[in-house]
Amino acid sequence: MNVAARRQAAVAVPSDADLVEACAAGDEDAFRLLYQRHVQRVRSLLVRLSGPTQLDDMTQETFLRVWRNVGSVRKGDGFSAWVYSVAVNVARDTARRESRLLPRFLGAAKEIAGSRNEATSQEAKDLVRGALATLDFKHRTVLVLHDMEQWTEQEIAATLVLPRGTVKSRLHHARAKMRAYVEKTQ
Amino acid sequence: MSDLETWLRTHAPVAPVAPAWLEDRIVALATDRVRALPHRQNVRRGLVLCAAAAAVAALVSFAVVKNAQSTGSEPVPTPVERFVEASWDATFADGPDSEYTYLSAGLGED
Repeated sequence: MNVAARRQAAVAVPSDADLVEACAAGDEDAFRLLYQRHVQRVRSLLVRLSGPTQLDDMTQETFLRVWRNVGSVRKGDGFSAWVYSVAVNVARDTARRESRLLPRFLGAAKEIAGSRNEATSQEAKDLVRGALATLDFKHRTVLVLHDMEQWTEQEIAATLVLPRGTVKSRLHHARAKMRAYVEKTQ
Repeated sequence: MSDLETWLRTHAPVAPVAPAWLEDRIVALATDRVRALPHRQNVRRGLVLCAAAAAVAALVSFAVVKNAQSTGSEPVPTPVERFVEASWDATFADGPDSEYTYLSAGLGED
């Protein structure tokens, strides 16, 4: 591919902002492109916040909310931050509905973690999942966004509409609880 | 970065790749829902209104009958009953044996 063709190809790739605009006008193809760009990160966030049980349903609900409310994304606001905040809301709603499943999930994770001294990679993942499940949703959200998704405190504060001090204190509390859980189970 | 942070990042749960059918399902649901919603809402609203109207009509008739029974009064004739009664009176105004009655009923002598 020569330079001109490469430039043209680069120009042809629409930005998120362009796709959002087209999507707000009812363009299905734009919606598909947005979905393809963001689905995997959204799913990672969802699985970290709520576990894998209802992952496809939560993904579906997130993108349906995106389609319904895409008109409310203001120009200049980052679409990705917005779509992740939608995913956080979906995960929170699911966690509320499914709170009765948590003890079972937690018990299984504890069993796995407790049965071996040396955790393999998969077991370590299960341990993390179990430890996440011990946190309440607001602490889990801040920990996942900061320590796993690598958001800054400022970004989290802006997305969750919280003071920065609250984000800091929640992060501190969540880490302490995680550490205590891991030490207890290993 | 703390040890815990590194450990969390290393072992953070990873989501399985989204199945291919999910995209089509989401797009179908999104577009269908958005387009069909007003229509479905109207149909639902219509059904609710019909059901409510039927319930009100049933309640009113029940109340009227109950009221008539409790007061011991004659039940109020319906418009059809009133029409039949009026026609009967007009036809047999002079009594059932009058000539007029037989003639008008086609039963008179030739």
